[in-house]
Amino acid sequence: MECTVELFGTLRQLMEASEVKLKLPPGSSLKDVLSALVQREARLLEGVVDPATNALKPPYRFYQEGKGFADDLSQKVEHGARFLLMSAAVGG
Amino acid sequence: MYSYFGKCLVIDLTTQRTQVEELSESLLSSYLGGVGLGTRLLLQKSTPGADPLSSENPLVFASSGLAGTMVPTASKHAVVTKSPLTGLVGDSLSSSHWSLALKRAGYDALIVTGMAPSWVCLFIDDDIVHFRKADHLLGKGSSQTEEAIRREAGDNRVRVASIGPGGERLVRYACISNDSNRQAGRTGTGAVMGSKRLKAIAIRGTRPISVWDLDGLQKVCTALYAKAQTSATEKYRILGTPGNVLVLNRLSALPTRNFQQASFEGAEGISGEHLAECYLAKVTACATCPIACEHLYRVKDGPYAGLEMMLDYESLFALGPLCGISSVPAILKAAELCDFYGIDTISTGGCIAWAMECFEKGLLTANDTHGLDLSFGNPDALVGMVESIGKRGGLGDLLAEGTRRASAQLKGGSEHWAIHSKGLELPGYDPRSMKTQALGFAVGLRGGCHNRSPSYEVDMSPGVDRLKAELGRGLLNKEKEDFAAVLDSLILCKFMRRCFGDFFAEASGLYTLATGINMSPADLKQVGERVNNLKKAFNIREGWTHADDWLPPRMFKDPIPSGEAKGAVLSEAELRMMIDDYYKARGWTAEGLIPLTKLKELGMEDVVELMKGY
Repeated sequence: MECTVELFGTLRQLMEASEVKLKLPPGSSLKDVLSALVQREARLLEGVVDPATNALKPPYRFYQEGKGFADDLSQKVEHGARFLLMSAAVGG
Repeated sequence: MYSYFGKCLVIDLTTQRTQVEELSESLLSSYLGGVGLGTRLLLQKSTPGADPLSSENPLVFASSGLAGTMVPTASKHAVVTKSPLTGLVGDSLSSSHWSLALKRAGYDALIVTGMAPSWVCLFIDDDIVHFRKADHLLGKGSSQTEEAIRREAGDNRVRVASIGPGGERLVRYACISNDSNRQAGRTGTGAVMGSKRLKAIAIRGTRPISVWDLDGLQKVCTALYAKAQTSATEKYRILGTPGNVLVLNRLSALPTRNFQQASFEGAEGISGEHLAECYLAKVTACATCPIACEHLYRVKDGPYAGLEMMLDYESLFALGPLCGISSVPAILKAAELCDFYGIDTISTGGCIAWAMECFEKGLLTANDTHGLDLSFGNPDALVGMVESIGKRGGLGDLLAEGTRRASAQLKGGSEHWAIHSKGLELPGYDPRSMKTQALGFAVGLRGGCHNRSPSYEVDMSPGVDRLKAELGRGLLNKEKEDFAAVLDSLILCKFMRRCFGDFFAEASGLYTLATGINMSPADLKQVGERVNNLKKAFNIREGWTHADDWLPPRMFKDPIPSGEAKGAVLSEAELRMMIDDYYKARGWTAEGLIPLTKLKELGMEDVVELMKGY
């Protein structure tokens, strides 16, 4: 099962890519997507992912293309899904 | 009193008389400072129905109650007046050293009334107010004005707020600049200052500011300073607000070519990520700010080589995608000219984008533009039109009136694409793909504004369908507005908001430690509601009607043509439903009026007196 995560802002700088493609076992959840990202770049644990809970720290959020902002990291990921990982802190 | 001085300086430019008035603890704790206190003083001091550009319209500068203390980001002031752009309440915030100087001069507020017989500069030297001739400063931008005044004073501690040539010429969205590059940008406060023939207000403030519990405040502030270095503010610190561009572009929320599209093919090239890589020269901060969101960019080559300019998201969107411009040097040059002329970048971009669409649709021709090709995407047209607006030359004279007046004059259907609410040009969030924000723009008390009605946060929350309008958004928008009003009255920078856990509990504690005034979390929350009802009361007095709470026709007729929100559009029924829901959440009548019982419930009996007959 494959999915794509588009990266924005400091995440893009951190991972030195504008998007990453992930191969995950069938039945994987959004939490598994996050773990796979952390495996690629451990520095995500410094400011983006809470090491204690393995959840995104606010104001970071997933947005699923065609669906909206995701709040449940246990949601199953469909093959071909495309996610946007971003800081939802806008304004200015 | 602690943290406050309990004093307001009133300066009458007509008579050149000054007076110091007392501000009671009860008034200060009810409205805090900033936008709240400023609006309260405006309501009291202004003549109902006055022309915003007449001597009867006071210009109020209201300090933060926390300015001059160690509270991070509190070095701020609000400018409040009747807006020449909207005819309703105009309030705008600025920050940094001038804000501190006003407070240190010993005043919580400054009210300028009347109209000088010839151009003047005020010099407030603590207790003493000098009226100085300003003819030699005319035509200068804010940096040059500041430099000249400091040179004359022989003192670099003197802080200056001034208008540029745009304010002198009464561009309806002229701003008031201070500390060279900070602006009270929106709603045309600079035009009001220009109408009074007041070029600048220089202040030398030397008084100490005491706080009620120094040790307690220090403890809380130390924690806040630390929090301001975490992920809570990371985006602002690392990329600055231009980091919004790619996110909003991907969500079809980046207004492009005068809201004809909601995503921009040139977004990558003007993004915060690209600017950081190719143009970033320096990161700076306002006084007492640990975040430092201001990013200074430098142009390395081309016709604008050597240009250095700060840019935030709103200026970038308005002078970039909104006008179809993908040239970073041209955007920076246009922003620099806006600063020089002292005109609001959002309204400037909105007016130029409107004119570009008029040009492409044949309503304006090369005859109107002195041969300039005003097509979307032409960087020379952008830079040339900013100059014209600042000088009120040619077509710029029409655009200096704002899109509402300009479209009413030009006609030909151009009202369809005059993108404003209540006369204020919309900021950089497409309301068709952010429907709670659409409500916020429609009912906004100073016109369509993401800072006073920050409901994009609702639309960017899990569990909210941003493309759907539904019952409940009224309450959510009300809560966002009331929260913003508290921040704008305390005053704290909105970028600090995520540094608090339980905001009302922590901020009310902070306020009490600084001022010694008991303030419960519930009291503080109620201040937000009080301030917004106060602004509404002023608007009602000045002729607001139900029909003013609305959005431009494009939002209902032209669906977003491409991208993630392709096909998204707002229906009139949806917006009406959300507005009714909002009025209900506010406890207002179905027509959007405030019942007397609501004012009394909020402890606004004094306002009831001021509103008699309206």
